[in-house]
Amino acid sequence: MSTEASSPQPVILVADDDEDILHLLTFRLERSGYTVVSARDGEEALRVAREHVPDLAVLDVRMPKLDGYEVTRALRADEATRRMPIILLTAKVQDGDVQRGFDAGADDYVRKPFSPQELRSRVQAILGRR
Amino acid sequence: MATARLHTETAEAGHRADAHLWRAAAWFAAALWATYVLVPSEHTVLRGLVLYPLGDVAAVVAVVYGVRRYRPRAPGAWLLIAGGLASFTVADVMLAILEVQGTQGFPSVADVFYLLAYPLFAGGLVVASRAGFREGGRGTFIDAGIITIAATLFALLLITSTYIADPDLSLAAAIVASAYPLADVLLLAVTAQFLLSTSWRPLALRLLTVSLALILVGDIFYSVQELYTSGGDKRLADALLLAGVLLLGLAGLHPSMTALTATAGEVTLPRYSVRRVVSLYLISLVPVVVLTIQALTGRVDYVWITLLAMVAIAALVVTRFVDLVGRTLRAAEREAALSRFGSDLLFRSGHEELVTTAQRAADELVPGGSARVIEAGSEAIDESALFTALVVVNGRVVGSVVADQRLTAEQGTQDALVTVARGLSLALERDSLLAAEQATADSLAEQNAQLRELDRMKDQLVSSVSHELRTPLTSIGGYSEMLLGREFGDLNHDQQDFVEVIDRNARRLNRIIDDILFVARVDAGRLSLERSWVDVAAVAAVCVEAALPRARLGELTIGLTAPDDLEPVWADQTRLTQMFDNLITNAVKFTPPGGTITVTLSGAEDMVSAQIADTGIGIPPGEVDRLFERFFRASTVGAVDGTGLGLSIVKSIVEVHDGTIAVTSAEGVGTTFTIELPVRLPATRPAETEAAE
Repeated sequence: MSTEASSPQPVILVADDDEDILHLLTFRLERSGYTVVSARDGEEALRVAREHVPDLAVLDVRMPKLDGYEVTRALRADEATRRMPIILLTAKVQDGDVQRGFDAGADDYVRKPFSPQELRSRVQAILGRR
Repeated sequence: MATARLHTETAEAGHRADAHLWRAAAWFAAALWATYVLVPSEHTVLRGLVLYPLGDVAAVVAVVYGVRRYRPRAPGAWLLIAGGLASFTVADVMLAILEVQGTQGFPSVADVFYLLAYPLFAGGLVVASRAGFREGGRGTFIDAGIITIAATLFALLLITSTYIADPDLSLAAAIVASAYPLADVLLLAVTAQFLLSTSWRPLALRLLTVSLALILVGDIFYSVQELYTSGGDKRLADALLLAGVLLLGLAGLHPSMTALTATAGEVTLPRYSVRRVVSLYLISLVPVVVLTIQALTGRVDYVWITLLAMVAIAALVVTRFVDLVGRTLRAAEREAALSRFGSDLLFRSGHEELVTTAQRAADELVPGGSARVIEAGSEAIDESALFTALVVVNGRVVGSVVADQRLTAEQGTQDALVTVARGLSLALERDSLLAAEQATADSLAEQNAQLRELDRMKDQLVSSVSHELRTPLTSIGGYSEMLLGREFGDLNHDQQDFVEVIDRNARRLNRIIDDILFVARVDAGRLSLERSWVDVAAVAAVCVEAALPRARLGELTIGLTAPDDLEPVWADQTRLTQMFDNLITNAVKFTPPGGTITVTLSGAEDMVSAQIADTGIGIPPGEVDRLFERFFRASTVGAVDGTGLGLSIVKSIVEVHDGTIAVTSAEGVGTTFTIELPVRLPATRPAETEAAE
């Protein structure tokens, strides 16, 4: 397992109600040198985010209890998590949904099905800028 | 009501028979009269005992026959008139016998019968008046009153007074002699009132009028001759009287005799023609004339009677005036009531309220409160005693406005009641229309709500389906990619191949989902475009570039030709890319090895054309028309896979950009698609629908 130079491994929050996708993302990102914390629904996602304050969050839009938009808004409203980069995942097709995501405060928007490689590239790009 | 008769053939024949009979009778009467007039007066027996009584009897028979044949209402009227004629008959026969015997004196028993006739005539007319509900017109009574006073004055002063003043006359004689003019006056009064209040059109009534006039004139001549020429030839008077009697008989025989007692329905006001006014004025001057005559003849008696007469006439004239004013005021009140009714109707709605409004109006119009608005079938209506105006809504009689016939006799009241009925009809109709409209609107609103709900559900379905399908695909594709990336261990050759298959099919499945959802959005009118100025040449180039690997695999040549100065098109770049992709993919799929695919772009005024031509297997001629149908696949596709949605999607994209697409193909030779897109939006395009949240 390779690690980044001197800085500690960035922590990434991954939230999706589908187990398989959750594991997919976890594998991909851990293999790429990140620490991953996960959640299965919106409420858990918010709790985990406040507890660990990750460096980036990847949230599925459709989750039980709280959906991705609501979690995004909540994170943005909270001082501690206000500047956290957020990527939303979704299968929704209507273009209005993209705007909705950005309105909620997300930084990026990835459509399902996605290539894990591509997602990793995006994560790297965002974290690299910080 | 006059008796109505169904006109069957037998009735027609009956009418003709009646007409013949009447004509025959008329001829007979004319002949009889002519004979009487022409026969010299020496033949008293012939004239007095045969001809004259014959005429009388014929008249009586005629009237009685008429009553039995035509069955008028209140036959008593005609029968009283017949009674009067019978009385004449008896009197004439008696007088003739006395003349023949030479013992004719004055007065005699004959005089009693003569005098009796007048009340009988008058009585007949009074019965007719009552039967025909003609009493509404007070004006006609007043006019008749004026005439009567004038006549009475005339009779009293110029005739009766002479008898009374004559010392040679016995008391009995004086009384009887005075009685005649007074009887005439009575008849005149009643006749005047009757005639003034009725229509003269029916022939029978005209004959009646003329006959009574002749009798009265005959009597006047008789009296004048008696007084001023003392005896002498009464031939003129007799001729007139006979003519009057005969005409009376003919009046009763004519089919229109039923009009005597027919209900007038409504009293017609006396028409204020110049003639009538002048006549009444002249008649009311009779007292002045009498005074003048008296002055000229030097016999100024009974001035007080004349003065009384003038006072009475003046009073009547004033009453007439007051009556008129009253009538006018009542008419104005009716107007006001009707216009209140009209405006009330506009503001009220609902069955109950409208009926109440109509009832109020009817109450105002008919004094005495006998007017009612009744629903159809709620009570039995006595048609003969009540005036009815029907309330008809949508062709159905729903009720009527009724009032006592007698109370509605004043002219204008019935019209007003009809107006009320009509107003109510219209208001009820309007009400029912409004209710229907409201019901329709309500039902439409409900339908709309349901449709909106369905739409919303459809949207949700599309959204869920999309998510449910793509989520598993993400896993399939994602894990395949990770395996192929060899980060989690190496794969042997076969494993590599298998995983590639999984990956490929996952992508394919994804494309199919995309196509289906695209089509669903176009269907729902939910396709939203992100337009920008698109360089079509660049887009085509990208698609051709992307297709190169596949083309090489299939040993195909693919090329693009485009002018340098192609105008940019205001369009959705993603969709145009999708369009080119689909067409080029199709061309690649259906062109056998060694073939060529050419993409040619060109620009004309305000239009950009794209042509995608291939040397592929072509499309059978009968199927070219169906090419753009959803899920349609040509019979020649063979093993090539596809959903049949590709071209349908291309067509949708072209159409949503207001463009046109055409295809020509020849089997075994190739296929060419030609697309034309306008550079700018047409001026009158409605705003594009935005996708719903």
